[in-house]
Amino acid sequence: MSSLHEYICPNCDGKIQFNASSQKLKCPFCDTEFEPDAFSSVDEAISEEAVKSDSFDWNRDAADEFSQNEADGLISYLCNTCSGEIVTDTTTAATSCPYCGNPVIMQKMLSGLLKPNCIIPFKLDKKQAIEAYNRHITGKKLLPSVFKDKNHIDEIKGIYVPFWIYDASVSGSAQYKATTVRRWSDSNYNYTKTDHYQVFRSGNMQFAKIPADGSQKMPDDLMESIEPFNFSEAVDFSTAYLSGYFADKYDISAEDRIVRANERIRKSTTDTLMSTVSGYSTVVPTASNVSMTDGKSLYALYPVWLLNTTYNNEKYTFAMNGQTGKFVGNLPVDKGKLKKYFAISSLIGTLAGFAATVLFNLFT
Amino acid sequence: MKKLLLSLLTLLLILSLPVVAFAYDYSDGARDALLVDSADLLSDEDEDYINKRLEEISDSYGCEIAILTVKSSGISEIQDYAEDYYKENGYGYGSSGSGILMVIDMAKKESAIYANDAAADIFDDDDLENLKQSYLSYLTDKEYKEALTEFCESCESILADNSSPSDGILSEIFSIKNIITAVIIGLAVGFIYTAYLKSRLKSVKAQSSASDYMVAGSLQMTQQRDIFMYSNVKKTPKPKNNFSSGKGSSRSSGGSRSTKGSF
Repeated sequence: MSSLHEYICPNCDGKIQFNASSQKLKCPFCDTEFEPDAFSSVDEAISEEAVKSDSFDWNRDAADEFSQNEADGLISYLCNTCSGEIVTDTTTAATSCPYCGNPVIMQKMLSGLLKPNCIIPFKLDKKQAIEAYNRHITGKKLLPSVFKDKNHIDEIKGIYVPFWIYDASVSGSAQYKATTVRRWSDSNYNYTKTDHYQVFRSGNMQFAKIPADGSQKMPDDLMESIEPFNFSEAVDFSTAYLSGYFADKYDISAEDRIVRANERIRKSTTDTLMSTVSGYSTVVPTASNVSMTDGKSLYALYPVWLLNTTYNNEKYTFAMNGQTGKFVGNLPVDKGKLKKYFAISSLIGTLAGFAATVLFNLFT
Repeated sequence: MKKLLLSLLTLLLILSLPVVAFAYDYSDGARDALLVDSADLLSDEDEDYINKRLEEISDSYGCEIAILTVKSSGISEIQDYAEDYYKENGYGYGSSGSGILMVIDMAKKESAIYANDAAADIFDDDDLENLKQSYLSYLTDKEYKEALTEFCESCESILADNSSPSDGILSEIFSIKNIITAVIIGLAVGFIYTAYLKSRLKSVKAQSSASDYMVAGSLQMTQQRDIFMYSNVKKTPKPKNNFSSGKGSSRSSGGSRSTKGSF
């Protein structure tokens, strides 16, 4: 379908010819007939497409470093067990690592630290975090008992997680093959008529404040699970906010995290364009392109309540959004309890199934 | 979810109670008597006695034993007659009609025994032959009550050899098919319930898109074209219905057996 004079049949890939008797374009291999202007309309639509290939163009603003005065008000703690490094203000003492629970040691040097552009302060305190954790584990029949131990729950820590925040203006184009199906019948035959369409969609949209965490220690899926964060409550950064809490240092650059933001932008754009195609029986995407301009990134600290639990030599991390209270964390299965519940439910199911079978045989 | 599951299970268990509560009764109540004495060979008292015996044996073993006596029926072939009479009158237990019918034709002095379905498996050719011989001599001597009583006793003896009385009731309920079906349902319930409990433990999931961060109202469509390309019409012939929709008694095919003798 690329050349003005030679078109390929979308039904069987044969070369289409002009049929003089019907005055329509016809495929000699499958006998499908096309309206004369169908292909020229497709050519026109392709040339009008806003975006013809993927492109992501980010502005990478240089962020400030802490001034000497500001750096003097901060202490860094290092964990020798997991190499985790956390920062807090001089008024807050850290005794254990929020990632592995082992003791941390204070470091004196704090230099070359990138200063965050903004911070979302903690809105929910430790008591509320513990209540949320207790709600999370309630009613989970297969949960091992160690997760309900009150002493351990008290070790929950508030930590500011470094995030790269992305803004972007996005343009997207997509093509689809769509069909509508109509069925009817007479006394001798059943008929099915399928109309085939070529669908084009292009559009622009804005994205604001897409977060991607900048810490290798924080599992990405855990941080994405506690989204969304409401950026409208973010304020300019001040070390005063660190008092009583810990902040993680970023160890993944904005450039490296852009890949993740690009994936999410691409998916949202193609989903949005697809949602505008309606009224068809089937819709199949055949091509899509996304282009991004005016990309900006910010360095922010977002509040997260964190609790680590070790069970059977595996670490389980729970996180609560310190702004909205959303609580997530995969819990392990106690195998003994699993077997018990399986046996009980199977027994009840067998008895009920037996009764149902006998009843069924009686009435048939 | 938990409440719904428990309610469904309780309902199933309650509905199953009437099934096992009352004593299992094989009789379908559709027929008045298992002995049809059109030839008037017996007195009313003797007829009641034989009927009672037939009912006892039939209910105990889940195999309907019936007797028909006729004065003159114009029967040409008594074995065929016995089979036709059995089927037309819906004798037999279960969906396939397990049972035995003995016909005595007083006009031609012939008797036949017809066994259907499971009864044909229990009563083999030798059994039918022995059964026939047990009462034929009584018929020859015109001792009709004795003949029919002997028939009943011989039937019971053969049935007893092949199964115990209680098997009839319990074997229907506790058949292999019922047990296997129940176990499969039980395991399925077990898997589904534990899978549900396990799913409640998972709450971490990566975000696939950034839809939460799309600025509301920022979408501007710059191209929306839907171009019609071509049509296909498929035509399939309708299947012709060759089956008649008339009523008819249908008994599932099982084996059958019959024998006849003269007296």
